[in-house]
Order: sequence, then structure tokens, then C-alpha cells
Amino acid sequence: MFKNPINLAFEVLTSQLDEPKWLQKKRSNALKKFQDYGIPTHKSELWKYTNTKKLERLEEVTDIAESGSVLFSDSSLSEKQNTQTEKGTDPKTEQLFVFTIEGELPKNTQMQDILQIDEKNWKNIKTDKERTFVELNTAMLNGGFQLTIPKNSQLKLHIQYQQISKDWENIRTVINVGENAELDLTESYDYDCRINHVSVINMTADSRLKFQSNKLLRKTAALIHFSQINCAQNVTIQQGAVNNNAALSHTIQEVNFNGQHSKFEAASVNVAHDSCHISENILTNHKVQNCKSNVLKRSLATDKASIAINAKAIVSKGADGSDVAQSLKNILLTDDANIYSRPELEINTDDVIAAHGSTVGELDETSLTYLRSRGIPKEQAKFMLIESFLQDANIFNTEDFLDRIEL
Amino acid sequence: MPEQIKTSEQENAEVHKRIEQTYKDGFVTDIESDTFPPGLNEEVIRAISAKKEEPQWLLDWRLKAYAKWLTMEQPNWAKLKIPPIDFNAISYYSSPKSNENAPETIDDVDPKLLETYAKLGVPLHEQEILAGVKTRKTPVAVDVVFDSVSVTTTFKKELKKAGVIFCSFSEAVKDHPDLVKQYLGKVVPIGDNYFSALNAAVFSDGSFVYIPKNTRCPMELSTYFRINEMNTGQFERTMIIADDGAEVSYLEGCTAPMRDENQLHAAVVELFILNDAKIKYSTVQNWYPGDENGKGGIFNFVTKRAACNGVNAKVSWTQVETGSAITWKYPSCILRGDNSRGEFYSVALTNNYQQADTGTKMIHLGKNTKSTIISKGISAGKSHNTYRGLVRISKRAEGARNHTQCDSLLIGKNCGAHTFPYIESANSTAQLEHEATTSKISEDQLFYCKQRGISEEDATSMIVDGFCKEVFKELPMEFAVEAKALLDISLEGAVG
Amino acid sequence: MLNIKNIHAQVGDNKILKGLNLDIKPGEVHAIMGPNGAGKSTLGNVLAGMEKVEVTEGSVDFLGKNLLDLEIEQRAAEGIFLAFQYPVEIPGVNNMYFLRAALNAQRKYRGEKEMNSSEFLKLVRTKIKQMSMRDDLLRRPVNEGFSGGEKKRNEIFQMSILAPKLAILDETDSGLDIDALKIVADGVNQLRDDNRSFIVITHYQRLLDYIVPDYVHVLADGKIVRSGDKSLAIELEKTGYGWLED
Repeated sequence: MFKNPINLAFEVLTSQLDEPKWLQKKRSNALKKFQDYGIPTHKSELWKYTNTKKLERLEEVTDIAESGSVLFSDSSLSEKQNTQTEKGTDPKTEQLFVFTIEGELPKNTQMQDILQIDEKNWKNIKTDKERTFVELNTAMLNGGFQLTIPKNSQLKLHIQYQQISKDWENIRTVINVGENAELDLTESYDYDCRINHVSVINMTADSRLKFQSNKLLRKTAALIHFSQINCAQNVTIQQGAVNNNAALSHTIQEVNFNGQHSKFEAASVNVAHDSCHISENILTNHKVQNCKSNVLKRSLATDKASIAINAKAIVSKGADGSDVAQSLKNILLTDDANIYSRPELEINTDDVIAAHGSTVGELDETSLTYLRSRGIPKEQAKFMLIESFLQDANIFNTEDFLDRIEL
Repeated sequence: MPEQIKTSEQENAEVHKRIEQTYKDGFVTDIESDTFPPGLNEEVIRAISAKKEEPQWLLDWRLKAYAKWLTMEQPNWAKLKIPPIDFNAISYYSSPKSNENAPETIDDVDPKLLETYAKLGVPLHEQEILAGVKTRKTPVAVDVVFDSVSVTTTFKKELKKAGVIFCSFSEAVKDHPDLVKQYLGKVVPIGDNYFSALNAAVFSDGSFVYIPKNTRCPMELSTYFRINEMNTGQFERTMIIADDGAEVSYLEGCTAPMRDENQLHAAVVELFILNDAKIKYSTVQNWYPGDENGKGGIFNFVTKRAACNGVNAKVSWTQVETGSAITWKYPSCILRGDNSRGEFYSVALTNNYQQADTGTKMIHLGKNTKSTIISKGISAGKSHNTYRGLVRISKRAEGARNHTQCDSLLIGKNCGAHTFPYIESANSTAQLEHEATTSKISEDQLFYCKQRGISEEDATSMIVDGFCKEVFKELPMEFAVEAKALLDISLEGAVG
Repeated sequence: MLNIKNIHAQVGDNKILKGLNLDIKPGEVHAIMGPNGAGKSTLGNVLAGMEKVEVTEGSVDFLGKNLLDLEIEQRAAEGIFLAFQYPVEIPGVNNMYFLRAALNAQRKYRGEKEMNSSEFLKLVRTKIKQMSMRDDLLRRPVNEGFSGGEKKRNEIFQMSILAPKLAILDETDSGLDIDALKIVADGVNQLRDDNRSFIVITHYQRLLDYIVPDYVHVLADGKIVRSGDKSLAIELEKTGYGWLED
């Protein structure tokens, strides 16, 4: 993925493609930027606790779908609608994405291959040293889509991101949710993935998003995810995430409030075993008045795993009436595991309500004793307490919330 | 609503009008000084060392620090906008001429200097202080540092009886070289950071305290720092050693004249706490903060660190920071001894264009170590106030505990309050808790006070004092009164 | 003493008082009753001068002064006291210190000599006995960690120290058990005299058994719709406010 191999890979990739000039230029500029930034080190705020050297020593991907080209056209989505994947069937196909739509697909829903869009529809993402992999994503982009959901419509969608090669999949997805539309989105990733995903969700006025992200990964997998959500006024977002394992799973999320009276509520669970590393970084950017953000994270590290949590809220000057809450709680089960917990507040006006809490600890002794005194065996009692700790983050109250996590 | 906007504009105008706060300690003492020309090079360092008649090992240590400093860069991670500092425009040594033949007793001290400290309210005449014993609970021994030198230290004899060493750092180098050599740079190594390296190269004076085994220091000790000379920096170095079972409470105060130029204060404080010993270190920092347009003021870049090396050692940092144009300061605790305890209590108030980035580091190495952090930040005017903290639990710090509470209060729409509390834990039996809130003074509280007949300004000051109560109660009595008064003065004009 | 003429008041865009008139003479006790949301508390807040309540029309004369021209703390010093429905907590501010600051600020405004701490302590000691309050409440921060009943009692205690000319009790009875209610009522009754007036805002007739009012007014939809003597309160207890809708 790095340095010399990357130049080679880039050449191989670009020589195969017959792309418009502007996109070729974007790719080569991005590659240059990526190389200028370099790979983030511990000096970099959002990568402080992530050992990026691990990326060079990843085990080979063993479980891949047969490779094949990804085909996208405006009609491909409606075809998909006819061939809805049934529950229980193996979703593994040769494509980068598998879409499952529940219910009706709203009329005028638009789907485009990201590599086929016009130059004017391409939106650059502002990067810096911390966001260097966004540049790499642009340079090496091998798939993605732009989905636009019309106003006043409703859609329930499940997207599965697939690993189709032994190499990194560089995926870019853009979802535009129209005015007063409602999207119920579930995203999940191939358990043995090596994905660098850049996703942008644009929420138009009065739109609503229910977003569930599942990163249930193999201990050798790697996932680098940059996610940006832009909110116009009166937007409501509920986001639930479950992150389990991976050799390296690193997320940077930015939520931008560009319009007033929007609400963002996010809860996530991070569970890491063995030598896994999860880093979750979220920035809520209160640029305008009267928006509300509430970030809750529950993390559990055991064996030699490490989890780094960072929740940052910036309230700009003039963004009065902002309401910010962060709750980061962590449990360490072994002395070889590490937790890094960093809630951050940057407040630049006085009319705000902002509070955060952050804890690291072991399981509550008193509760444990109580459960055992009622005849519950120690291990089971521990398990129950862990479950109840993690359940705090179950904002959609789903019953199988913890079923798929290795605890 | 347009009305609201109007009121807040009116408020701002009002704030501006009234913000011309008085910095009562801003006068200059007209005194003849022996001041080095500005500039920093090896020669200057040799000259400082020669002035102090230092042994070769200390000069070598300074030169090593200087060489290290040359390879370092000014840190930029703090949330501060620091204008470029021309280190060659600063004079690294300034001493009142009259001080050249080190005064033996207070009677030998230049009357002009005595007058200065009388004006600042620092008691230097032992008799006077003793005469006032009825009103004060205990007399306080004072070491006075004026620009680069220690002018006098009071109550030396009384302290000596108890075996306590309290003198200027320069004297300690001469009279107690083994102690100095044993501890110097042991908790703040020369290369620790840019400003500590600079300090190690050019430090001129400071206080030295040694409390022998099983001794409770018979009185409170204090050092009063004063920058007077133009274009000088103050680089003092303080060291306190509490031997097994020793106990001491130490106070520190600072002021400087009002000047349009920024002046640099880069101090280093090293504390060593052995088995069962206790140090309580309190600071009321009132360096000149600059004027209402942000002109002038002290750059206060200080490294303070305590090593709880012994079992059951305890250290407590209490600071009230109202002064300085820029404050960059993180009094920290290394909790190496099992059962050792670190505490950090802080009130930081910024107004006008002041910037403060302050907090603490608690490094838990020993078993059952405990730390407590209580930080209260108040931002007004166009100032920015940041709490930055790190609590690190090492793998072997079984049963470690930390509790952190940091609250911020915002007064006005143009200021900022930022909170960056980091936790790193590598031990599953450790428990850490952090809580923080940021808000303005509640409208309901103000309405309640006003309904009882209290003016908005008084209500604000009352609520702010209440907000800081948990920290003030950690200060020695007289300091607490001073701190409260200082807070009121610094807040003056912040309420419209 | 107090003359309210055609008061209209709103909070944000929400119009709450819509032409309220009330005339109170020295020594009178007026009870204000009415359904939830009628504007009872707003009336108290208008008189005290809460900034977020905007008076759009009407006038309030208090002892010959235009009350609406005065700042909140000036009104307090002129003799208006509001016993809050939800007394606010002020962390770290000692109750005694607070009360003395308030009393002396008011005395200063009126050109009276400020009270020194020993005089003040004496005053407090006598009053606290009358209120059957525990002294340790005085050393605690204002209302912090007080139970609901303690907060309400503290309001009446403050009233007894500040000795206002017009006291407005905003649902002081809510959340009190019968013993606490009696203590509060006793406190009020001890202060009743020919020159001091009260506005007692309440939901229930119960309080009025202990603080017997001269007049009872029914406030509904921002106006006083009926006035009478104590018997009106008893009638309301039986009939409720349902008749207002007819």
C-alpha cells in the first residue's frame, strides 16, 4: 500500500483505465498530496495511538469474492430491486456492493457509478495530514456510487461492502438525502476486508437519517474509514455503530451543522480482542445556532487489544443555543490491553450547554458480588455486566444488538 | 430577535468601556541595575555562571542544556497564538546594583526594594511580621526574587533551628552542592521541553527548600517573584525536597510592571517527595496580563513537576491564575511510590485578550496511587482558556484511582473555553472518572440574586466565587482572601 | 399600593397575560388561583422583572413609582419579594453570605445603614427559630442539597429577613407536607401587618385555610375572570375550573 509499491500500483491501475483527463489529473494530484502528507505517526492527533506500521504487515486476504468488474448504471439499481437478496443467503458476490432494499424504491431515485460522474458533480474533500488516506482513496479509487434520494420519499436500504480482490479496495460513496426525505440505512463490511472507504452523506433540510454501521471484522482485517455528514437545517440523525476487532480499524467522522435546529445522536460499541486495534474519532462541528449533538461510546478492550476514542465538539463563535454532550465509558479486562479516551470541547460562545464525561474502569465489584450472591456463576455474572454496559449504546433497541459481537 | 442582538451589542460596548481594569501592581521601581545586554549565546551562559561563582559541573550542565535547546523547536500543540519570540532581544540577567554585595539581613537591603515589596503587600520585616502574630495565624518566611536575583530571605534563623534549609538557589549551590547535584534536573530533565531547556541554560535564581526527615516546617514558606527591568526575562528555578516524613506548605506570588512589550517568564519547579512526606504548593499568579487591547503582558511558560518517589508521598498543586498575556503551564505529578497521591486544584481566569492553556499530568506508576483534579476555568472578554490534562495509568499501577472535574464558565460571546482531558489506561484494576461542563452563568441564578436586591455585577462575582469555592478552600487562608479579591479585579468590566 | 392596569405580557411569541387588572391596598392578602397555564407565575415574574417576559401593554404602579421602569434589583429594594416556585441552587455561595449581601444592597439603595455581621447574626438567629429551620442550612450553599420543603422554607425565611412591602408567593405550598405547610403559613402570618401586602399564587384551597386571604381572584387565559372573598376559593375547590370553558 505504501511508498514504492504504491507508485507501482498506481501505474498499474491507471494504465488499465480509460478515464477522462480531469479524473486522471485528480488521481495524480491526490497521489502527490498523499505522498507529501506521508503516513500518519504518533505525532498526529487522530493517529496518536494507532500503529500505522501494522498496515505494512497485514496478513493476506484469504476470503475474497471472485474478482470481476463492477458495473453500475442508472438502471442497475432498479434491476437490484427485482433481485432483492433474500435473508439468509450468502451475500457474497463479485461486486463491491450488495444493495438490499426493503419495501419500495422511491421513484426518481438516482444511482451513478462514482467513476462515471461529471467533473462538476465531483466534490473535493478538504484534507490534511490526519486525512491523508482520503487522498489515497482518490488516487486509487476503484469503485463507488452517488445515490440521490428524492424529496419527501422514504427508503430503507442495506449496503454490504465487499472485498473482491487481495488488494485494498478504495471506495467512495456519496448519498444525498432530499428535502424531507427519510433514509433508514444499514452499512456492513466484509468481515475479511481491506477497505479504505470515504463516505459523504448530504442531508437536505428537514431530512431524517437512521444509520446503522456494522464493522464486525476478522482479526486480520483492516478498515480505514473517513465519513462526513453535512446537515442543512432541521435535520435529524440517529446513528448506531458496532465495531468489533480488526488488525486495524480507524474511523474519522465529521458531522457539520450548516443549518439550524439539527440534531445528531450517535452511539457506538467498540469491542477488541487479541492484538486488535480500534480507533474511533468523531468531530461534531456546530457552525450555526441551535443544533444538538450527543455522542455516546462504550468500549471494551481485552487481551492485548487497544482502543482509542476521541470525541470532539467545536462550537463556533455565534453558534448560540448549541447543546453538546459526550459520554465515553471504557472497560479494560486485562493488563495488556490499553484504552485511550479523549473527549474534547472547544467552545467559542457563551450561550451553550456542554458537558462530557469519560471513565475507564473495571467491572463494578458491588454489582458483581450482588449477582454472585444470587447464585449466578462469576463468569456469567461478568458477562451480564459487560452486556448491560454495552447496551447503553443500543439506541435503536435492537434485540440482536450484541449477538454478532465476539465478547 | 433584533432586540436581543441589540442588547448583546450594547452589552459589548459596555464591556469595552468598563474593561479598563486596574492592575494595581503595575508600577516600575526606579532602581539602578546591572543588566546584561540582550542576546543569547554560550558567552552569556558562561557570564551568568561566573556572576554566580558556580562550580564547573553546573556550567557544564547549563552548556549541555543550551546545546540541547538549540536543536529544539518551540512547541505548537497548545491552543495558543504565540507571537514569535526573539530570544536575542531578551536580557538574560538583571540584578539591582545595590544587591551586589549580597545583603546579610533585611537592614542591608536597598530601601527602594523594600518600598517596592511594601507596596505589593509582601511582608519582609520579620519584627513587623512577628508583631502581627496576633492577627495572622502563622508568620510566613519569604524569599524575594527581583528580576534575576534573590534579594532576601526572611526567618532564616528560625528555620535553621528546625533544620529547614530555605534560601536562594544560588546560595544552595554554594552551601549545599550535594543536595542540588543529587536532585537537579531529576524530574524536569534538561531536554524535557523547549522552555525547560532554555531555563536550564540561563536560569539565574530561585528558591531552594529542604525539609529534613520527620520535620514539619514550622512556618509557611513563600517566594515572591517580581519582574522589574525592561526587556529582561525571568528564568528562575525552584527546588523543594521533602525528606521522609517531612511536611511543608509553600506559596508563590508573582507580579510585573505594566509595559507595552511582552516579557518572558520561563521557570522550572522541581519537587521531590520521599516516603510519607507532603508538599503543598500554592500559586497566585498575577503577572501583568497586558492592556485591554492585548498589548504587552507576560508570557508565562512554566514547567512544574513533582516526583512522589516515596511510599505514601503526597503532593498538592493549587493555582490561581489570573495574570499573564499567555499562560502555558501544566503542574504535574509523577506518582512513583506506592500509595502516593497527587492533587491539582486550579482556577484560571482570562479576560480581554489573555490566553491560557493550563492543566496537569498525573502519571500513575505505583500501586494504589490516587489523583484528584479540580479545574475551574473562567473566560471573559476576547480571551481563550483551555484545560489540558493527561491521566496515564501504567501497567503496574494496580488499584490506581483518578477523579477529574473540570468546569468552564463563559462570560460574553467573544471568548472561548476548551477542554482536552486525555485518559490513557493500561491497567484493568484502575478506575478513572472525568466530568466536565461548560456553560455561561445561569440566567435563573442571576434573576434569583437580582430579585433579592443584588446588582448584576455583585451577583456575577458572587456566583464566580462560588464556582471556584472547591479550589479556594485548598489555599492557605490569607491566600484565599487575596485570590478572591484578585478574581473580582480581573473580572471587573467583564459584566455588562 | 400596587395598581396593575391592563397588562399584556408574552414570552417569545407566546402571549400569556392578556389585559390583567389588579389593585392591592396595604395590608391586603390576595390569592390568585386558576388552571395550569393561565399565567399565574407569569404575573409574579412580570412584577419581579424577569427579562424574558416582555410587557407589551399596560402599566404597573407600585407605591407611586412606575414599576416597569425599574431594574430587577431596584424593584427588590423598593420592597417587592418573589418567593420562587422553583428556588435556584447557587453552588459554592454560602446562604448567610448571600442573604447579608442582599439585605445590605437593599439597605444601601434605600439610604439605610448597612448591617454589620453581629447585628445580622442576631436577626438571623431570631428568625430561624421562628421558621423552625436547622441552622446548618445557613452554612450551606444557597439551596444546594436542600430538600423541596427546605427550599420553600428558605424562601420564607429570606422573606422574613428582607421584610418586603409586597410579597408574592408563587405556589409556595406545592410539594409541602402538612407540617411544612403550617410552618410556611406561620411564617407568612407573622409578617402580616397593616402595611405589608401579599399575593398568594396557589392551585389549592388548602393553603388558604392557613393564610386567610381578603380577596380571591381566578386567573384564566391571561385575565382575571372572577373575584370574590375566601368563599370563592371553597367554591372552586368543589367545582374545579371546568366551568371556565363554558
